[in-house]
Amino acid sequence: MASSSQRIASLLATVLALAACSSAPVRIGNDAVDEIALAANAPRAACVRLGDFSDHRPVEELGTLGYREFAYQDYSGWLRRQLAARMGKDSPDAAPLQVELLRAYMETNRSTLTFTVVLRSQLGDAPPTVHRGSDTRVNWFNSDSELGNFIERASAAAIKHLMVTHQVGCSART
Amino acid sequence: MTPRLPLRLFVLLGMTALLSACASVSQRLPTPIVSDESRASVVLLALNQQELEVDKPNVGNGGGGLIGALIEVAAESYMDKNRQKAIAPIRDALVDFRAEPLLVEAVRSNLPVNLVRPDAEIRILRSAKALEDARVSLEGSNTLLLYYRYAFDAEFRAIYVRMDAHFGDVGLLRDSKGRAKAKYKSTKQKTGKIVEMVYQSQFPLSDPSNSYTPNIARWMKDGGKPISDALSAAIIEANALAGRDLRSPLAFDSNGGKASYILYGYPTAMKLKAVRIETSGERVLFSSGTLLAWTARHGVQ
Repeated sequence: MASSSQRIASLLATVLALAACSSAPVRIGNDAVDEIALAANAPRAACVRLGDFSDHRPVEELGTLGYREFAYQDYSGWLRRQLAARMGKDSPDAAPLQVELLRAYMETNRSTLTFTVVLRSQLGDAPPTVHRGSDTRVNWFNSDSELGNFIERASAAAIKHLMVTHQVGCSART
Repeated sequence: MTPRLPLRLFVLLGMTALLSACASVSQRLPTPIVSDESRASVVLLALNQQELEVDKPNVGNGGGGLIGALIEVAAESYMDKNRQKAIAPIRDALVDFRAEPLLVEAVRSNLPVNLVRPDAEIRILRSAKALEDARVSLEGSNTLLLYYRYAFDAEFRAIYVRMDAHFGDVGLLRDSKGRAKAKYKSTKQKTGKIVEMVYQSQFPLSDPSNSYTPNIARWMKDGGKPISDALSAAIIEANALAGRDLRSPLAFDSNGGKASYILYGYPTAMKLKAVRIETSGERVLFSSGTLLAWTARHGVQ
């Protein structure tokens, strides 16, 4: 039996569906993510430098909300820049770190949205490590800037995990 | 931008209300009669996930009214975050497991060749918009349309693969405003034109806990091997079941002895009375309405 909140929600769903049935694809640009704030807060791993960076995502699009497709064409480039900025750039002692981008996608639930980023890094012959960042929240506006915030937070979490992992490695080598 | 209440929240809560108000067991329609020439040359495979998912928790009733709806959203957000966190190590363990090629291979090797040409194109569609465009372009030709989901239930008691299979004239028509509409809506209109079935393979834990943490620990033994084993087996089993039933509908006595089964899956696991069709080792095949599902013998109540 439907609760009264469900009935109200059902009624509002009909009204809002009529008000927001755009199916135009949404292109996320670099302006949707705050590169400067992200750079200021993330840890660094100075004893490694970014070696090969490869994009192995099975799907380049980020996903859909209803009929709206979301795409961020420069996501791979943006992520690469974020990673490179946190590693030792010109130090001859810095070991090259291979990084793969495995997944970047959103998962829509009943009322929440989860954005997930999966990276894998490998230093020399050491076993590879998987770094996962995700952000789950209520999705209020369906806007590109809101999705940009999801991307930013999930990416920051994955980058942080990668940096902390290799910071520990740096400490062990010194 | 003016803040707007979340569209999807209300759409989905609305769907929940509608579904709970309109629950009924649909009956199987006859498979459309197809000549060799009119067999499907395209299989549309709707797949909107990139990793193994976990179903959303049932948040129950928030207390009524708009405040109640908002309470339900807050509870769901909190519980969903917990599950996303819980499934992360499972996904990491399966990061190199490629479900998609396995699905495509299983579809190809189980095609019901009386309905679909053996060389049919298998087209993967990842969004509602892409699927709609593909269905609009069918122009009356017979097509096999498969919606896939592979996931854990919300408490990690079972892993399952569900396929919603539609065969026949599943195309859509656009109206003068460009909106896509189903050609056939009512049961009467669909009869002889479209058959719709649900095929599922589920692998439940024996005596699962009501709390997901110990269940996850059991799945994660040997680096998550029980998960990849169950998922691979479920993909193959569900597709074999679909191919077999679409080639020749499984015969059984719908009034035969019924038992209670738990059917795992979105939006929530449910207990239902169903007819046992056959057993094979530890596996049991049961049916209810348009559903055919394999489960473990220990999954029968």
